[in-house]
Amino acid sequence: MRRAQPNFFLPFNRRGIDPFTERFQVTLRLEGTVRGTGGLRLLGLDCSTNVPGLYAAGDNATREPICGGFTGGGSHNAAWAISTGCFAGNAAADFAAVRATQPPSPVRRLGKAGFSKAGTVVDNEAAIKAVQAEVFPLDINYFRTESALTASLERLDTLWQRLESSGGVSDVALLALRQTAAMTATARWMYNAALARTETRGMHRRDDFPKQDQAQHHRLIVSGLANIAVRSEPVQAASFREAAE
Amino acid sequence: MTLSASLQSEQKTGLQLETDVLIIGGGPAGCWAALNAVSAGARVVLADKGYCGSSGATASAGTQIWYVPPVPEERETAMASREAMGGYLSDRGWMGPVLDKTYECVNRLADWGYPFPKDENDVPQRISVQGPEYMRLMRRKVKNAGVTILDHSPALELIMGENGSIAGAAGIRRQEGGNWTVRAGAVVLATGGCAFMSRALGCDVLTGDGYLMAAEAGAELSGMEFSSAYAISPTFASITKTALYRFASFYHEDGSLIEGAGSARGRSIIARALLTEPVYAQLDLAQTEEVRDHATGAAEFFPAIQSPRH
Repeated sequence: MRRAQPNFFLPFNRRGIDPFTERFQVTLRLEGTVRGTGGLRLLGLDCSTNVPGLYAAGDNATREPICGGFTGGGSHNAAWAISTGCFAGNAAADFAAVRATQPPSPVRRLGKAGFSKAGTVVDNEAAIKAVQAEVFPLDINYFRTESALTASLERLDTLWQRLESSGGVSDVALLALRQTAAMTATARWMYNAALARTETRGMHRRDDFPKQDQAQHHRLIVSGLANIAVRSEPVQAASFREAAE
Repeated sequence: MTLSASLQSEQKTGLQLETDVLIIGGGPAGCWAALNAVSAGARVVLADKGYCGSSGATASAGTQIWYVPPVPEERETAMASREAMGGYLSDRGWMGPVLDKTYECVNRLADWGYPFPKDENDVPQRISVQGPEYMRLMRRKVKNAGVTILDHSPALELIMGENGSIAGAAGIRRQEGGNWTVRAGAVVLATGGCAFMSRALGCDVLTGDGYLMAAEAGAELSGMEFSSAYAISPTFASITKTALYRFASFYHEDGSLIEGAGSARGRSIIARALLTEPVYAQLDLAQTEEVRDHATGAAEFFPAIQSPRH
């Protein structure tokens, strides 16, 4: 066992703990959407998003098509990375080949949070801790309820407003700010969807709605940054565009 | 112009490339996307936040693969196995093509020389890979295919044409300094999910960057309520090998057993306990060295095996 899992046993060896005969303290470490299933919505087997020329693959895309609302990571996610990588790479090449025949058009950069001319100064370390304080706690994110989600979302919205108007930094500091903005936006999409799904389904557990509700057998689609919209979509409506190959 | 001003202007321009397909993210999805785009005749640039081949969730640990031979009964069982657990939100119109493509690509990995282990009858076992070896091989294939790899080059924003179509991305170069801009006919986002810097092994680079860039372009997301995945982990380490906890019992601080706690079905009992008290584990269900070896081998290679609890 030790030979097969050197990664697992290293920290135990360092501390002189034998995990087979001694107790060790454990915690639940958030893996968010890495081992959840949410992500960018795909229009079909070509892995296109609703934005022309933009494709998504692997954990960046929703894995609901193969796992619904539950995955433990590994297995399905690994297969999803391989197959959607192939589908997206193929379709993107085809799209680019058609684009190459068209005249170039003027372009603009899309980055907002962290790039704002308003240049609000944000303490990035504090902002990271603030997001984590909303998504790590089990009594907000694991055992979900309307009251806890709503209160959390208000704090996250306030944080987002500051990040959205932040700017004036470059290089690694800008990267750090963008990462924090991405995590904050992700937390807000998570909790907007979690509030909208008033049932327990897959890994999504609402303690105030402990049963699965047949009337909510649909996907929840979120979009937007300053204002987040949530709509439902039937399970099989979008999925039958042909694969690119 | 002062020296720092001229440096600044050079950094502002930075590295400028033009290509057909830009892949953002160099984990397994990004690498497979790059190889397929090349096969389809495209020039490809791949930008990774870290080092393509060692960065991300896959490169840091072993992983099982949903590899199912095209035998109708086996495929049926595989597709049915998680439908209830996933709340019936999956879609067989996707599962079939995903299983087909995965089967094809994993066999290709074997052809490329990935050392899959063999069972006692000399049959190769292709349902798992070791992340470091797998991703080292993928990087080599991507590089040999002629893909331009930009390591340590996180993307910060997408670029859009006036026609509303994505036309590239821009980011920074962490080692060389300065910026990069890649104009492309299409962009594939493969930046992984978001684990909120929780120190889960290999996951701290996964901060949802692709979601943010895509949302700024107007992209939609789906299933974001399915985002409460937590791994059992020692408090003092980042390792998240949850499969091994099938061989664990869980205890209160006073050493008494937490009834019903377990890694699969009893996860919420652990979560409930953690709200008010520290929780301890011990891998005491693997009692002999033989069982321990078997247990780990099983956790790694045979996902269907039952834990000794049953």
